[in-house]
Amino acid sequence: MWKKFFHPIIDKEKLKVVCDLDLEKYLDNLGKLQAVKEGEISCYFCEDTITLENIFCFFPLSGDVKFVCDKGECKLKLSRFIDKDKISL
Amino acid sequence: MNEIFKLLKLSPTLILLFIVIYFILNPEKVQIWSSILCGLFSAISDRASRRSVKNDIEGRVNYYVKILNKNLPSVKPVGLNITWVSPDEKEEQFFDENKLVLRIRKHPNQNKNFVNASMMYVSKVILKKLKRYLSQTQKDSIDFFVEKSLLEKVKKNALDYFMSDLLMPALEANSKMSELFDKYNIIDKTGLFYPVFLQEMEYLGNKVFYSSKKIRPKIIKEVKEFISFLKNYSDREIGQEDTMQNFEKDYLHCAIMIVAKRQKIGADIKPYVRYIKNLVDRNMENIYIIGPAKKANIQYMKEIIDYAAEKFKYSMCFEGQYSSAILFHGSRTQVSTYLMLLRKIDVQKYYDEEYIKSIQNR
Repeated sequence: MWKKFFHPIIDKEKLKVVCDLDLEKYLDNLGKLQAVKEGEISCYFCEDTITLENIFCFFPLSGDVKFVCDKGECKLKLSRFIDKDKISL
Repeated sequence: MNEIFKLLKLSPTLILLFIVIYFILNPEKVQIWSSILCGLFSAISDRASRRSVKNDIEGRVNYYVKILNKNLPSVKPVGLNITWVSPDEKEEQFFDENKLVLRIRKHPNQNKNFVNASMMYVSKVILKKLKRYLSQTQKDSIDFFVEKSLLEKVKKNALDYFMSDLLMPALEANSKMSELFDKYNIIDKTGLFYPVFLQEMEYLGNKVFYSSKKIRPKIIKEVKEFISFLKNYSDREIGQEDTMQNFEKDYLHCAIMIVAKRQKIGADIKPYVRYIKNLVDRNMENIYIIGPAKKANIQYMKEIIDYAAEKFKYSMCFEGQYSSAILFHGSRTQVSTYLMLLRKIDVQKYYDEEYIKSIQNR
C-alpha cells in the first residue's frame, strides 16, 4: 500500500551548472576568460570561435578546458560524448 | 446535521493535513510550485531567479522519473540534482571533480535551460548499460523520443524550442532516425513504448556482458527487428490473428498474449494456461499479457497469471493500466488497457571470457 503511493528517488545524477552572472568570474578562475574574450578558443566539436554569448558548456579533458558552442549539431555530438562516458556529469 | 457541522469545523485541519501528506509524498510538486513562486521575484532577486531555475528543472525531471518508474518498475529510478558552481571555485577543484559544467541562462530563457539540462540527463541515464551495444541512430532516436515524451508530460511550452533546435534538424539530417522515430510514435500510440519496448531494452542491457565489438552487430540487428515487430503489432486491427505475437531471437525472447476475447471471460483458464505453457517450452523470458482494463477481465487475467506463475516458475513483475489507441476499421480508437508481465525467474545471461576475467580481477 505504502509503496503504491511513495516512490522516493534515492539516486540522483548531479549536473553542475554555472549562472550567466557568474560565468565571467568562473572562467577567470579557470584562466580562460581572456582567451574567450580574444576569440582564441574554438568549439571542441565544430571548431567555431567560442564567445561569451555562444558558450553552451565546458568540461575538463586531457588537462585542458574544452568548450562546446550552442549549435544544435554540437549539442547532439555532446549527448553522444556523454553516452559513451567520455565525460561525466 | 450536527455531525456535518463538526466535520466542517474539523475540515481546515484535515485539509491542511492532506496537503502536508500530499507534499511529503510528492516533493517534486513542492519544487515545481516553489519555482513558480520564486519566478515571480526573479526580476528583482538573483537568489529567487536561481531557485526558480533549479527547482523548475529538478522538480519537473524528477516528477517525470516517477511517471517513468510506474511504467518501468524494474528500472531503478535515478533523479536529477542541479548544483550551482561557486564563482570562487578554483581551477584545481574543476579538474579534480572532472565534471561538465552547463551554462544556465537568465530566467526568460528557461525553456532553453530546461531542454539543455534534461537532454543531458536523458543521454546519461536512459538505457545506460545497453547503449554501448546499440547503433548511434538507435541511441539518438531513443534519447530524442524519451526527451520528447518528457517535455510533453512536464514542460509542454519547451517543446517548440526542442523541436526546432534539436529534433527537426536531427531528423532531417538522418532518414534512418526519422524512420525509427515514426515507428516509436506508432508503438507509443498503443502504449507499448515504455512498458514493453524500453522494458525489453533494459532487460537486455542487464543480461549481456560481452565485449561490445563481438556482439554489437547482432544486438543492433535484433533491436531493429524488435522495433519492427512492435510496430507491426501496434499497426494490427482488432481481432487480426495473423500478426506475429512472439519474438524469438538469440538474445530477446518475449511474447505478447492477448486475454479477453469477450466470449472467453469467465470461462476456464486452461486454454490460456496451455498457451503460456507453449511459450514457456519455447523459452520465452517475458510474456506480456494484455487485455481490456475491465474489472472482470483484470480478475480473469490475474487468475491466469497466478496459476501460470506458480506452475512454470515465473514471477509477475509488473501490472498497470494505460491508455492505448488501437486500430478498428482503419481508424484508431482510444481504449483503456491492462498489462501484466510474467517473467522467467532464472533468466539466461550472456558472458564472454573477457568479462569473466574482468570480474575475477576486481
